[in-house]
Amino acid sequence: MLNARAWLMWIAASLTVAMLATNPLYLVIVLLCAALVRAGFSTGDSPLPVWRFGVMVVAFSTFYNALLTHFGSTVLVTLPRALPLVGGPVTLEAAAFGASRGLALWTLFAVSTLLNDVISPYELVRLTPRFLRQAGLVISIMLAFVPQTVRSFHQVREAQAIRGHRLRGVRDLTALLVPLMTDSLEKAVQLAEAMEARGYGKSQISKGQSPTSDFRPQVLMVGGLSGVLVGWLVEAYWRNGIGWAILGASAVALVLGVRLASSHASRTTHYRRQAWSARDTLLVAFSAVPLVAVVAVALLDPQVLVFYPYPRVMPPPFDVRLGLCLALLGAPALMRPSVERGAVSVEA
Amino acid sequence: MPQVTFDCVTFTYPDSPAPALREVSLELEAGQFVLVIGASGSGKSTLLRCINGLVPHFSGGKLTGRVTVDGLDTRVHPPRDMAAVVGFVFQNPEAQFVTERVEDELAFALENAGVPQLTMRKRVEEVLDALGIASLRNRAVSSLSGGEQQRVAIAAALALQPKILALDEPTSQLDPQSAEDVLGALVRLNADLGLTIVLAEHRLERVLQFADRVVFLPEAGAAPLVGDPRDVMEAVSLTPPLVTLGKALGWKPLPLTIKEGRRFAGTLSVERGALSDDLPPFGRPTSRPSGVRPPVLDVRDVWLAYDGKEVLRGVTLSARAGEFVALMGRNGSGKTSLFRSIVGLVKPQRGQMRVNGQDVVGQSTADICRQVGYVPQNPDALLFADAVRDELLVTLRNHGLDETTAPVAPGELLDTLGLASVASLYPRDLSAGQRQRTALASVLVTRPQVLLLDEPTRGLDYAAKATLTGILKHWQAQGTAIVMVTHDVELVATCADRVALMAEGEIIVDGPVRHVLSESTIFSSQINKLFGTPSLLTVDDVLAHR
Repeated sequence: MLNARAWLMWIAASLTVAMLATNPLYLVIVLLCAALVRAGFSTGDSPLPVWRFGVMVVAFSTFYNALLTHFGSTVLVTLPRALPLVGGPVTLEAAAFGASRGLALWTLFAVSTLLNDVISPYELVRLTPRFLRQAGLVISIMLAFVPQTVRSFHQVREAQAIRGHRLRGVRDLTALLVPLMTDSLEKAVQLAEAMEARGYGKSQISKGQSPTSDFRPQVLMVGGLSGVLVGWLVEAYWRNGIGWAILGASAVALVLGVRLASSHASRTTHYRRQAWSARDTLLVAFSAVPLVAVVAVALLDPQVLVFYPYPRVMPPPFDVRLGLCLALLGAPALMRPSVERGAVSVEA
Repeated sequence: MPQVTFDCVTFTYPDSPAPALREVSLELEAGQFVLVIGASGSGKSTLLRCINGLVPHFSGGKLTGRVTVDGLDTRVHPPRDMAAVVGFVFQNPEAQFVTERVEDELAFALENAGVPQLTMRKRVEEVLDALGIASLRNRAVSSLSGGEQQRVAIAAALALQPKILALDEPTSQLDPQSAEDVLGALVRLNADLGLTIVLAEHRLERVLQFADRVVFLPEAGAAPLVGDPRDVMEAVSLTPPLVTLGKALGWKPLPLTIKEGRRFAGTLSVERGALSDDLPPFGRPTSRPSGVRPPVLDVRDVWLAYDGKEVLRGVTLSARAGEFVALMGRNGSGKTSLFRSIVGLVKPQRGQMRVNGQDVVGQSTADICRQVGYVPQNPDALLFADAVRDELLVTLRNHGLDETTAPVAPGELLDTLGLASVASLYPRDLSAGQRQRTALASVLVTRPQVLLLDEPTRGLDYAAKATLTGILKHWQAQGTAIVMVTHDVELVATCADRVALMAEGEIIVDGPVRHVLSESTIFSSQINKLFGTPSLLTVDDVLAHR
């Protein structure tokens, strides 16, 4: 089991690379790495087949750009000028540029969906700061409710079908929605009862003060946030330095508010040790190398990363050293999980 | 000093005219196994929720008198304080989980209580072992079976090391094997750890033998009867078959287990010997002349596979008009899949299915269901109208009918189902038995010739079960063919003509109820276990041939 923080680092590195390097050759490397990692870690119940989405995006982006952008010297076909927007030459350059943008989107999508495969939502919730634990818990319960609701929806749909129910109009929807909603509400009340019975919320009370008696952290945080916004606007309009002052002061207030809220937060403990193993260090290292390399190249010689086919399409430049660096993103595929993640759900 | 004291407790729910508990006074000692019994709506849940303060802190409403638990007054201490003393387990296993993984679920209460990590890890290990669920620790709770989920819920309630464990019908949603697992775990906890168990339960035949004390709530707002299990059983009318027989024959001391009953059964050996040879129908016909009428439901060689798994493997089953067939077998043996295939919710790969001689393969579910009434396991999924009566009208409208063209007049149907008095009430406010009957009414209103019932008695008490049995027999007499999936052997013994046993997607036995039940070791009624002859399955059988 790799640490969630290490995974976040890997995902951040992959996303940064995919955003900075528009060169399709580099994107393909990242995409392949993501596919390898998916093969190693996926729980198999991905909601949307990523490759199908990717092919669709690339195709759409290629056609879109080819039809609407009329630059480039390699003309494939010329559409009648009378046609609005699409009329004019369709060039290979425009198509290639569209395809490369589509590929970038596909890569970003592939990497982000991996988040769901390698880190369970509950681990993410656990990474939230202490004072946000309430919000984290709400999200975690919501996530648990989704599959439950899907199951009860199937149940309700079948139950109505056997009563001869057919969807013919809006009125027929009530037969599906009403049982589903009452069911969810009943479950929510039961859950609230169960949480209460297991001592949820006890620690706030036992500290001897009402949790609502101190509004300072909220005031500081909200004030700080709006102050930052105001400062930024003031600076953008007048550029006289007052904005910077407001912004700085507000930032200090925001930090104070967050710290105060954390110290006020309920005294809870964590069961799970987020153990950090040598493999996690390795994963961070393997993520850091391509990240640093890409950022460095972007600052020093951005041309290497960018694919710009106009005016005449050329094969994208490729730096083997950079390519090898990026291939390191595939390293986690070799760090297979030792414990089986999740379990196959069983049909009741 | 008693651990739990109810001192003249009266409680009324908000917006309710009558109290749910009236002047209840009782004392429970530490380390006891206490069974709380009574019909649905008699206040069992309310009584249990008083112990950890969910009543009145969570429910609202008005509480007078005083409940003291381990020296704490529940009026002063809300449930979250009581959590350290009282663990609580609810009826629906799924609705009480907060996290996704078993281990996290066990740690939830500990994390909230701010228990240090090292202590927490030790406690989690302890409860995993106490409930025998260590192998499930990394599983997702949604992937567990009902019995496993309920044991996880018990373990989660025990993590804070309470002295009392209160359970509100924890087995009512489970099949018999899972229920057995859960009850077995409770008995061990009570015996080994000295944990006080307060359990509300319908299946008396399974738990009576373990109880030190029984609290019987006669009806909402009546004083409870508290005492030794034997004494309480003498006084109450709805008892398991063995106790009913014991009372009818005046056996003393009243037997609570089959083992105790065998001693008395031995004295009836003369009658038994005379009866054990042949199987003439007594009291009710066991079989009808076959070959006279063609089967209304005729399923032949049905094969169904989904997700790469063979669920049905050449199933053949038929039912004649007025025949009552019980379909039994383990969970996952394909019983529900067979029903879903018949009504067209899933499409079998091959096989024939005829209703009234007409091929129904490929027809839409709505069309098939005009002739085949199907009541699925969870009746609540059907109900959505504002009143019981409207549920019937909705079904009629779905089939393009109205009150005047209905095959059965809705008012009359509600009458026969004992729902006339609640016809204008909101279905979800009714008791479990009434909801089940409302669901039944909403499919019976098209007067189907075949009725498929999936575990209709799940979660019903003895009274509701008896009412349902009466109704089914009435429809059977009217010529409806009934096929019922059930785990309830006693129910099968009282009303089925034929029993089909399923295993691994196949029907392995199909025969008259007396043969099948008496030849089986697991699917055998209490009375049959006592006497061991096919002629004696029910209390009535024994009484008729004394």
